[in-house]
Amino acid sequence: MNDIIPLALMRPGQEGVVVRVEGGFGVVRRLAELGLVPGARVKVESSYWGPVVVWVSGFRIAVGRGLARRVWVKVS
Amino acid sequence: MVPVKKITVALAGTPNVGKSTVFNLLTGLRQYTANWPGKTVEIKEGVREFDGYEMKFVDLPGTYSLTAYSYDEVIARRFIVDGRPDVVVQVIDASTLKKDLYLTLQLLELTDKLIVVLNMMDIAKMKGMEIDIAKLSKILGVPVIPMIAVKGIGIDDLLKKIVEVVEGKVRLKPLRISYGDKVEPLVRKLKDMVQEDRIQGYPTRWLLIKLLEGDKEVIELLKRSPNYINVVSSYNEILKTAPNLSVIIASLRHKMVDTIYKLSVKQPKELRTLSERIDRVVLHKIIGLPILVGVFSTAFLAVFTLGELLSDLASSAFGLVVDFLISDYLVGVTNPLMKSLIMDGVLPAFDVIISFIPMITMFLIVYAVMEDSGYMARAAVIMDRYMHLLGLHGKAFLSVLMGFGCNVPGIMATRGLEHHRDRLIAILVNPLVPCAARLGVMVFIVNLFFEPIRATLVMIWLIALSLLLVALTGALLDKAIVKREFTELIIELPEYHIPSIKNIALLTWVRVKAFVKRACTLIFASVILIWFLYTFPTYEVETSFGAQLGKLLEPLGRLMGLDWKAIVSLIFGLLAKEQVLAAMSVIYRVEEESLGEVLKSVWSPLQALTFLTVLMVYQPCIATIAVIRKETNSWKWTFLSTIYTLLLALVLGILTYNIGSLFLR
Repeated sequence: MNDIIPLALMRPGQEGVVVRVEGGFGVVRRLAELGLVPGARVKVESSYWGPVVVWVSGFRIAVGRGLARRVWVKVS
Repeated sequence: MVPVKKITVALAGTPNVGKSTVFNLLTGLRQYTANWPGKTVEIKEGVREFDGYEMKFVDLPGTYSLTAYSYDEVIARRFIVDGRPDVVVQVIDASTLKKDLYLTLQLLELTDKLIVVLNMMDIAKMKGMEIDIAKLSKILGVPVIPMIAVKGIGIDDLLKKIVEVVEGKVRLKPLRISYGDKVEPLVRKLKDMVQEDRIQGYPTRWLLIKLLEGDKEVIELLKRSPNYINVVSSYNEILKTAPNLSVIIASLRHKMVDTIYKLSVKQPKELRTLSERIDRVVLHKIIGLPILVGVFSTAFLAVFTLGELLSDLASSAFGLVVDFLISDYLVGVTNPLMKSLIMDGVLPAFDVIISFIPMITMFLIVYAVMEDSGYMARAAVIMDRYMHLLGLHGKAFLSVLMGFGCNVPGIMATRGLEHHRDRLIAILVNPLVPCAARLGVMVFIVNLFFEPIRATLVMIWLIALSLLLVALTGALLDKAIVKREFTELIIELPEYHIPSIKNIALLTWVRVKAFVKRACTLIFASVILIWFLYTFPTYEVETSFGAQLGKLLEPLGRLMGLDWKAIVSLIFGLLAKEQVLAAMSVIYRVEEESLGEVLKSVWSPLQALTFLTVLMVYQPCIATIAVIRKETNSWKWTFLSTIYTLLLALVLGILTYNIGSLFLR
């Protein structure tokens, strides 16, 4: 089970490594600043209609669903 | 006597690390707010004496990074360079150390004189983290001071260390980050094109790395000087072969952070926190929303019920003081102009201000508690999807909610929005959120003219229209003000904290002071202006400049089926919308109790509806205008906002009257 799926489709409790972030310059950089960069380990805490709450580099961030569709994660 | 040596210390840090608590501990009551020219960002400054030094502390905006992404970040880095602080202190939340080290690395590139403060050491310990402070200090090459700010532990150590750094008694060997085989050759290549070590105060290496990250402000800065045009053009060349340099650089920094963290911190495998457990409930998909409704209803009631009660008390107290102290004096005043100025100008102006302050204070307390505790971030997450329907950011929720009570705190509540642009939009749509004063006038007039069922429908229509205008204006501004790539939410969920009473008291005190100073002078001046309009030249409202203005505008009014008396009442409404009814009773020369009967005899239901439509849409009141001016720090936006709502009110008034008369004739 080593699928690459968007962060938005991950289920609560699932973990993985970010492999790709799509989108324009500003989006990619903003996500990068908060630690959502290729290579970062993430763990989804909650995800339903609305923002996805995700653990990354020791703290939690909430990411709007549309943005979360652009972050591709290799699920482990 | 030894002369006092003055030094400047900048406080940097990411949001939610207790930076304001540290700042309050350092400066106490000797602090003030200063607006950054032309922008909505507020910077706090404060002074303290220590060991023969007069230290000025500057509390920079909380930022995760030092890119040009948000205005806060630009201000922070400009201050570190242009403000020439003697020392930069970064406040870190020890319990989320990893998050903060990213900023540390960036600060180290920008300044050599950094001191790192590890705040909330007690919470880190509770989480089971063991931080090797000596080792961390050695790796970073700068002093690291442990602190528990809420208990006042570590402040003296920090002050001593600041003095040592200023006097050159500490050896600083700031960590120099190497960006590896992919990036360093590019930096070297660009560096060969520049002779200076610094360009306009910025370290050259820092500038070049920022350039490779595609930093817009840095590109502009380099482009302005003919010497560096070639640097920018080779960057553009580099970009063709390596388009995602900014991500490479960011991920290298994160790797560096990981390494530093692993070397200096021992922690249990799983960091389970209480905040996480609380969030399982608070952010729950079913019960999250009811909890939010509960929390905010309480907040709303606290601000407006308790606030109003206190306002009434303050107002009566003011009345008593006036009666007691100056009624004797007033009897002696025979000059009618003087008497009118005091009775109808100055005293009402003070009354407006005095009744505002308790409500504003209540609001600021509630606001500080929400922010300090960490709940605001959760509310933004829950409300984000609904707020997007209004074209607004999740964090603008509190602003809209408070707007239903009063637009003044509503506009002040936009402070949590990170981006100047998002904040400006939230400020500019707020006057269209119907406040309690307008709703009060609406209920009174609607019930005069319509049967119960119809009345309800009319009220629903007026409120829906207002919200529709909020959404449309939001969308319009979103297009009109430089379009950002995305408006979606990205927000940190900070650990919950029990708010410190001392901290909140100080925060509120400083903000109330700023409100009184900046907004109240404008409110005062405007009330006097309105007094002037309705007093001169004849001391009679009917023949005053105000009435003449109303008559002058009557042709416009006729398009909406309104006569000059209605227009004059609307102008009076600027004083405060609840004053509209009082103004009408003056103009129609009736007691307020029988105003209803008179209105029913002069207006048709359609005219009443048109009047209300206009009333709901145009700028709520002088205090709102004053607070827009204060919060946007711009006369241009204040003016545009006022003109926009007036035009909108006019257009909607005309539409309502003319479409309505097709059906209601």
